[in-house]
Amino acid sequence: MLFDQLPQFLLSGLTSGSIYALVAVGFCIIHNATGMVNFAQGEFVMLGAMIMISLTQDLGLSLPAAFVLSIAGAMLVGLFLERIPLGLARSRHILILVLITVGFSIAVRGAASLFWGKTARALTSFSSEAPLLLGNAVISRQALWILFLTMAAVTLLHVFFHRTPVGQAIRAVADNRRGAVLVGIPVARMVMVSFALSAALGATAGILIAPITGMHYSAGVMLGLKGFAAAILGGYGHVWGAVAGGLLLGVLESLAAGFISSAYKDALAFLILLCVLWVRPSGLFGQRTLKRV
Amino acid sequence: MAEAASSLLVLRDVCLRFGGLQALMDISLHVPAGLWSALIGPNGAGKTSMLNVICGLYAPQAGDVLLEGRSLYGVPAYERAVLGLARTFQTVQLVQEMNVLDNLLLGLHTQGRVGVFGHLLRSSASRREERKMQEKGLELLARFSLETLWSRPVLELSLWQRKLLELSRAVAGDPKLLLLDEPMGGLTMAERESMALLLQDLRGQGMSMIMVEHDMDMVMAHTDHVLVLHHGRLLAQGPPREIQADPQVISAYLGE
Amino acid sequence: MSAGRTAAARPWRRLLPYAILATAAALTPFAVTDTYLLSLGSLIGLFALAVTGLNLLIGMAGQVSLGQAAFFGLGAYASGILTVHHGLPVGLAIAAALTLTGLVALVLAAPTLKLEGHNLVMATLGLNMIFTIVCIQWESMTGGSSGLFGIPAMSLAGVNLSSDRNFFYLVWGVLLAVLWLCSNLLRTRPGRALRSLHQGDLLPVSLGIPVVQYKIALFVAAALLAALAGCLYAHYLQFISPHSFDMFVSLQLVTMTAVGGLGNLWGGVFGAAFLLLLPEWLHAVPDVMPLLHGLILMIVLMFCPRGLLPALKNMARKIWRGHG
Repeated sequence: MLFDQLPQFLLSGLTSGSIYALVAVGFCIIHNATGMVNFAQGEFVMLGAMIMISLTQDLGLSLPAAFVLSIAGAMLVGLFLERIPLGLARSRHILILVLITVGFSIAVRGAASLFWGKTARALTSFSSEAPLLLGNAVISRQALWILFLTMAAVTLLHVFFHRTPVGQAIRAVADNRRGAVLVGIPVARMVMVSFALSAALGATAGILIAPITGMHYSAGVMLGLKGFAAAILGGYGHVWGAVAGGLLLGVLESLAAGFISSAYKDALAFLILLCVLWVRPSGLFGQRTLKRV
Repeated sequence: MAEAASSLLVLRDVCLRFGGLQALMDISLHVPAGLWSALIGPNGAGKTSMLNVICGLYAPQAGDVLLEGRSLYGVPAYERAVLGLARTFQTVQLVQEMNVLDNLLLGLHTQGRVGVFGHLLRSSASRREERKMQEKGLELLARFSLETLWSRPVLELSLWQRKLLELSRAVAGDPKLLLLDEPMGGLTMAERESMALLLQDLRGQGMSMIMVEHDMDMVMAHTDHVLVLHHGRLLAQGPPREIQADPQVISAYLGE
Repeated sequence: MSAGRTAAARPWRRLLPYAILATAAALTPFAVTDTYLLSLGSLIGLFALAVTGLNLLIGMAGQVSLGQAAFFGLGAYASGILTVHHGLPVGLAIAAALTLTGLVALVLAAPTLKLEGHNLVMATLGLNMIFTIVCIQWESMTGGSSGLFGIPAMSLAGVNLSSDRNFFYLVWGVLLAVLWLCSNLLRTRPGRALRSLHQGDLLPVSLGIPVVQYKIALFVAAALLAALAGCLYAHYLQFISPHSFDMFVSLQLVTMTAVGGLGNLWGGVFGAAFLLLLPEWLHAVPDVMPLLHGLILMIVLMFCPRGLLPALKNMARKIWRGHG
């Protein structure tokens, strides 16, 4: 019976959904700080995983050390993107800035294919490969790591935004940029922090998923898109909405693949997204804005 | 009802809410044709909201707006322009990328009869209509002493010139009722006087106007009829002299 | 009072770019003997056609669609399938494909155009993803990821329009005609209304411009231009595959528009040429090509945000003045 597999579908949906959630939150953080969509978000995912693979396999670093260094590497790339291509751009027009991130992502993919080649590489799991049995569902240890570390990351993020001065300043910038400038918040620096943070989240997602799916120079594109979709689903800009959107997208996708058609799973995911947008343009968890007639 | 029949514009029990905020409460009024009316009131009294209700940008939750006795209920904003409503904005709205003449010609949009396909193919009808519109546009610009600037991008205009251009665009289609949102805002004393003279001329030619304005001296010196809004209610209405003496109005203004 | 005079006095100034481009297009097949380069020229014309529609949508209405390649593909696949599987004559198939695309765009326009900013981008992107997946999965109709073969060539009165040279003329002829029509439109009443749209609804609506109808018309027109390019593409190459119409192509169309100059009709043609020729110039260094492609794109957008064509024009004017 197909329904016996429901827990299995749910579990694998939550696993991929966690990855989407991390990417989606990255989209939201940059959107809140700048109002733009960062199309290079998926490249952070790829970079995090590829750097991690190089450090552990080519240089033989231990997992925790490599983890920290990979994330730091992605954060540097995020800062570079904010400072140089976006910072030096002559136009403040959102569309131009967004297209600059598109150019940046093409360049990063190009550089990655030069550096790492075009073949996919795998990352060893964080712990043993032996799966665990949970009722009649099987779950890999890596999936547990994903669920656990995603929850940890989101919780830390929540604490960061609500309990630390820097996090509160970023929220103030998101809330009211002019107001933030007036009360003396260094907005430019908060935007930098946002890019670094968003890159770190993306890289974490990449490192977490790489042991399951492997990673190659252009794998960030699809993950970035799914993250974007999740962020929209959750009502763009809401961090918790993005988490919920990511999990929901993962679960829907896995159910669609299991019960309807695995060939059309991505199409179904996007179709659901379109329907949500058409019915509720502000996303599932976004606030409805007052609309003029 | 007899009054309603002779009125150009009638508002009947209009209520407008934004979420929990009551912007307009039970507004009922008549605006006779041919008058220059002023809409005054402290900040946040609902003046611009009322203009937006009249021209159809906001749909009131209750009540109705009638133009020449015809209900505008459910009539979208762009059709109200065809019916004879025109307006200017608190912050001047011009299309930055277009020159002065093209911006003015936007005011003649509803006058065009040649369809999209005629224009696409540059038919002789299209060329004739465009030539006529350009001539009419230049005439209008001349009326507002902007004719020498016709080919300039609007970015190069001063605030006074922008206000003039916006006003000329609004009157281009010979509207029945002109809604002016702070036409004197940001202008110098001399420019205010010139604007008042222009508006007086318009009224002399039979144009009906409702003007939101903060400059009380201008309002009292030039307008025929004053409507006072306070906290979304119509506090008083009448000739300027009466309004100036109305104790309710005085206390509303002094109470601020 | 010189408005009428000045506008009409130098009609040649308006005709000049058409004359230059038409002459260049007429001579190219004689100068370029390499069929690959000639077909690249045709491809530039096709993309310029799709970019022209997108340029109106983004430049006039400020609405960024990342699904333009899906309409491009819908035209190509509809026309391809109708001729290959149903044996329709090419002309009829193209007409049917355009009608179908127009209807699809019309149905999608109303709910999609209610969306703004990111949501519109996502929705159009989603449409493109769905289209690509359906093209890959619906193998019996589309031939799946290996593509649809055996699409018949176009011919008119015994002349094969799909030969390299004739197709080149056809595409550039169509493109010049479309550009002429669009610039006619933009100079007149409906064009002024379109140009006021990106200002927000407040102004156009108060001037009596039915904003929603105009935006829907623009969306459908942009889709039709893309579909027309798609139909021509399918009957020229006689083979189509899903990845020619995926989201990267949509992204490339938007980039062509921005690189050429938003809202600038000639700029769009220039942007299409620039982005399609760029990989050719970088061909000598195949490995670094994607990296350089990304970098050049980034640098152009960083330093010429109003587009390459206006920037080049400015430069030329300065040099001219310097010497004159």
